[in-house]
Amino acid sequence: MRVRRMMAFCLRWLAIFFVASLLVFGVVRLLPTGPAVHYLTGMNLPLTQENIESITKSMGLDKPLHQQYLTWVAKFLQGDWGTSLTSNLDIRTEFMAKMPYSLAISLGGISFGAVFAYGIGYCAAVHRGGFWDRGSRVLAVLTQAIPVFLIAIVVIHFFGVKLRIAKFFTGDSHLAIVASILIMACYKAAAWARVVRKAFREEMSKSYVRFSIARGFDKKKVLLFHSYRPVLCSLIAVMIADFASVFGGSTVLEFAFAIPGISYFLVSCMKHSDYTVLQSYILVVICWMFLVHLLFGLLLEVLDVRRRKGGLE
Amino acid sequence: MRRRTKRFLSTALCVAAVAAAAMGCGNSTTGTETTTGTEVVTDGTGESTTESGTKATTEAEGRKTITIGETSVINKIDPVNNGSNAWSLTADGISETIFMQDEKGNLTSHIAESVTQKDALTWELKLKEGVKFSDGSAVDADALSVCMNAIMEHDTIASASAGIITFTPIDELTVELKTERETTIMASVLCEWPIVVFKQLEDGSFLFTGPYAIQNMNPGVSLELVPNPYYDDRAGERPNVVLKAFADGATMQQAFESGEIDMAFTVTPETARILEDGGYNVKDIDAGYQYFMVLNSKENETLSDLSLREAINLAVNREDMVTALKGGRVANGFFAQYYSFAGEVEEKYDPEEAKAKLAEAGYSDTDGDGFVDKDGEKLTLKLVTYPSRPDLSILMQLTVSNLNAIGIDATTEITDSIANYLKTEEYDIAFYAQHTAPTGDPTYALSQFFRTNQGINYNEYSNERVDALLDEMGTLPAGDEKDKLAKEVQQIISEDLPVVYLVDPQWHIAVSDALADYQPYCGDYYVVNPELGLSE
Amino acid sequence: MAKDRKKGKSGKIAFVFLLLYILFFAFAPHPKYIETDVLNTFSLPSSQHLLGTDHLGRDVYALLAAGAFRTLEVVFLATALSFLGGSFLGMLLGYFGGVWGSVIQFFADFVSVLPSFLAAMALSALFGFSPLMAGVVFGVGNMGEYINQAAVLTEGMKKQEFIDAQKVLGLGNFQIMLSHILPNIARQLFVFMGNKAAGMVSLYAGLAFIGLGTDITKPDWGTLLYQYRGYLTSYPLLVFWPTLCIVCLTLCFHLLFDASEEEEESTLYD
Repeated sequence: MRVRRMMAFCLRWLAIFFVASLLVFGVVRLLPTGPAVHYLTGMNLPLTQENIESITKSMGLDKPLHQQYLTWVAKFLQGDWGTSLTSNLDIRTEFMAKMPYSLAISLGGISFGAVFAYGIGYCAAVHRGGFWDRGSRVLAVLTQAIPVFLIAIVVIHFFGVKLRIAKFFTGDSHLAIVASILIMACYKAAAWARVVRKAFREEMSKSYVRFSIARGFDKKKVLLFHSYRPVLCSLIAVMIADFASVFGGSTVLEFAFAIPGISYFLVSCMKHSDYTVLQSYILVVICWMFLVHLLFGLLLEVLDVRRRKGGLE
Repeated sequence: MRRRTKRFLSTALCVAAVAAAAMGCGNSTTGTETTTGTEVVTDGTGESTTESGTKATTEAEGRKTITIGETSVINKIDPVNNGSNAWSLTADGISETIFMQDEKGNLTSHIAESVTQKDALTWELKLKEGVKFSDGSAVDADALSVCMNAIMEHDTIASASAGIITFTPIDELTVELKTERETTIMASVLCEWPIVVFKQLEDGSFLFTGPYAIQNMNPGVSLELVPNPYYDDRAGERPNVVLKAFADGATMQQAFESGEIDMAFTVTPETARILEDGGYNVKDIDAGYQYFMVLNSKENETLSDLSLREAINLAVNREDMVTALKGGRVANGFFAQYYSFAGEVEEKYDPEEAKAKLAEAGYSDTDGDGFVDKDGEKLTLKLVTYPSRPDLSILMQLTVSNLNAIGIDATTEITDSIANYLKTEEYDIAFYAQHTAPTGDPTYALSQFFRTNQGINYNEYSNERVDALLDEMGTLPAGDEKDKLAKEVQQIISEDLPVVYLVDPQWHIAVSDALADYQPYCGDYYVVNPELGLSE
Repeated sequence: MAKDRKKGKSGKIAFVFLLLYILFFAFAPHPKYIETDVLNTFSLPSSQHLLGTDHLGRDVYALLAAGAFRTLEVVFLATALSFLGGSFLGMLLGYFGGVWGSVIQFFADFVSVLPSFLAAMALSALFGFSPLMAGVVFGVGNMGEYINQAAVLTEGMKKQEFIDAQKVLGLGNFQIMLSHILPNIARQLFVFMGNKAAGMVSLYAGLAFIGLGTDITKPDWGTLLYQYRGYLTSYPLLVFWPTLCIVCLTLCFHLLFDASEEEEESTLYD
């Protein structure tokens, strides 16, 4: 049973990889100006027929489409992600240099956000209408209404310009990363805390909680120690999707703090229609999502199995 | 209780583990060292931590560092095969073109003694003695010929003016230049931005002759420079320079306010005013660039009607534009007003006359919606510009307001690749910024925009008189006579209106007290100039 | 169970408020928002300019009023698309599973894998950029979250006894889904939506940050906020007004979906 599910899971992701790569491959070839023309303009070379032909040939774009596709995917899997059309830089080297920044911000933001969300959501559920409940609501409204870049400006203005205690832009930009993580965590926590609260309230209405309380157990303890699994399940369900954005969710923060992360790089590549970078990027993201789903799937499985086995005491 | 707490923790750890696993995975599948933090990644050709670099560092201990914020930083050092990289290298003080402009727009050279014409297609270039690359090796006739021929072979922009120029060393300091086409202004040609002097070492790295040498590069992110010890005898007094890219203007402003960068190049007019009010040093510099509108006057287009173009020309309020940009002058031609060949056109703002011109062209408001129409069709113009010069979108917004005032409706768009857009898309008016005399000569830009069938003559403008004048200018050396012809061309353009002159702008830069005396010139062509940080 | 439940009081108020809000912006007189006045920039609120003027001397009130429609277009389009489409697909996935379930799950994974800003950039390169397109991109992009949520909830519901009872009674699958599962899971989905909907405004503003703007003379709240971000410390009022507009909108959504929820809960012990 489990093996079959595992198989199905892998097959599904293979299908995603296949469809996504086909899609990207197709879109790039649909675009009005082809890669050869972009390469030539990027290099200041004249757009003569001979030039276009020779570049097309050297890029392997004169081969039949299925052959091009196979070469591309095969090379990608071997670690050759190609070079950028505009700057000729090796894409993998660039990605590897920039990934740590984006990963740190996003993973940090998501992890802290989840921890905050769990805590706030729990407090809000325990005291309906109490400080945390109202607080979490205010936070939820504000984080939606105020774009991230305004918060970033305020943070920089206060700590960098007014107090001059933090250097966000020079040095190895670790302060900028810390600030970005915290800002992102607040935004994530605000959205998730309401989900956590909701899930706790849901559990509170269930008979096992009611019985436990009727038998004289403390409500808080019952919730915290007996109901956490379904709550975690809900939380993880909303978190998974956010992991996709690890390679793009921090764009605005990267711009606001001038952090040289992957999004920063991608946006400038997109602006110059650097499609080879885009192609590789999509595949990298899909591989990443496969990992995320794999790990979280296992995690949910574990939580779920335990819940079924002995959750209802 | 503890048991449960532990479970919580383990969940949290799981999350962390995912992160670690993912990063670890990235490593193992690719088999390269990931670089973290500030480590620098460059490819073979990009790396230029040469001996001179390290030597300079040891000398530089205790040296001041100046940090400059720019909107973008180069991502590769190769000056030949990489778009406008050569331009950036020169602007950043790393490379030099053979001739360069000084503050007054005159041509000077740190490398060449003189260039003289031998016959129609042959020139002789005399090099200065003792000029060196940043590793101390000499810039002699051989080295110069090697790099110039490489540029001519690979970069078409370099061969646009006089065709491919072949460089042949005659003796140690003399080079013979053979051009494909006749030219009278070799010094200007050798001032064009692709013509940078460089030397490629066997390991693929590059050396240049500018006042600074690259010590470290984080591609597209930051660039660390040290003084080039062989540039002149004041190298020891120069500071180290760090160039840092800020994609967002508001971020650059904050970095400046917090004192982390010594110069913001450039800031928007509003930021300039806010900084000025806050007591910071803000400088207005003559851009050399010109802001103008390209009207789509091709046949069968809406604006092929001259009266309509005249109406637009009269409707734009250039004084307001200058006010909004907080500097600059109303344009009087196609060139910055400090050039001797700047035009003498007087632009008028007269909405009433503009309305009369509209009526003359057959447009009137028949349905009372506040906008004019003709043959039952509302007149709606499509305006377009690009984001890399933020001033242009201000001008575009003002123009929409001006056009509405005389009853013309307008939509706007911003595109990243304006050149492509103008060739392939439908538009009526494009807002454009261009340095019209980067080599100190008027012929080049005028030909590019107004000669029949030229490369960036987007609206297919053609006027025999202009072509004849441009031909004549091509045979004249710099001087009064050439200036007079240039002015005449600009006058004709202001009547035919393939473009509408708008503003001769000034830009704003913010500098810290340490750089209060710094004065850039020629727009953004020489941002890191040899005088930077030398004044005390 | 949830059928006979009434909407809470604050929910009603919020709904009326949202309606008034939209009507106000739709029908209130718009002064000319395109008109610039470079001699009268950053002026404070006055009888002539209700909320003052911006860096080009444009009337801020006029800009906000003109931007309301464009803003709401994105918010409603994106939310409706992702909520309706996502919930429906999610229920199918949770209820049936199987091959079609895998296809849906695949779709959900796929759209959430592609960051919406990239999709927006790629699509605008192909088709040009408009609020309509942003709405569709965000709508489809967020569908994945709704699908996952709805699927998890539906699966949970399916296990409960009363659903089996309905099956024994001979009710069709779709009927069970519509009349028994949907009402029960809708509450959680609404909470989720209430917490997501107004976020579209900032997301849309984020596009301007990466250089994907629309017609700059035609404002929307998010883009205005983006344009004014540099004046946050020097002319804070300019940032305040659009923020206020968005806060009001967010509050409406929140009261409508999250808070009304709360009053229903009061049946629970505390």
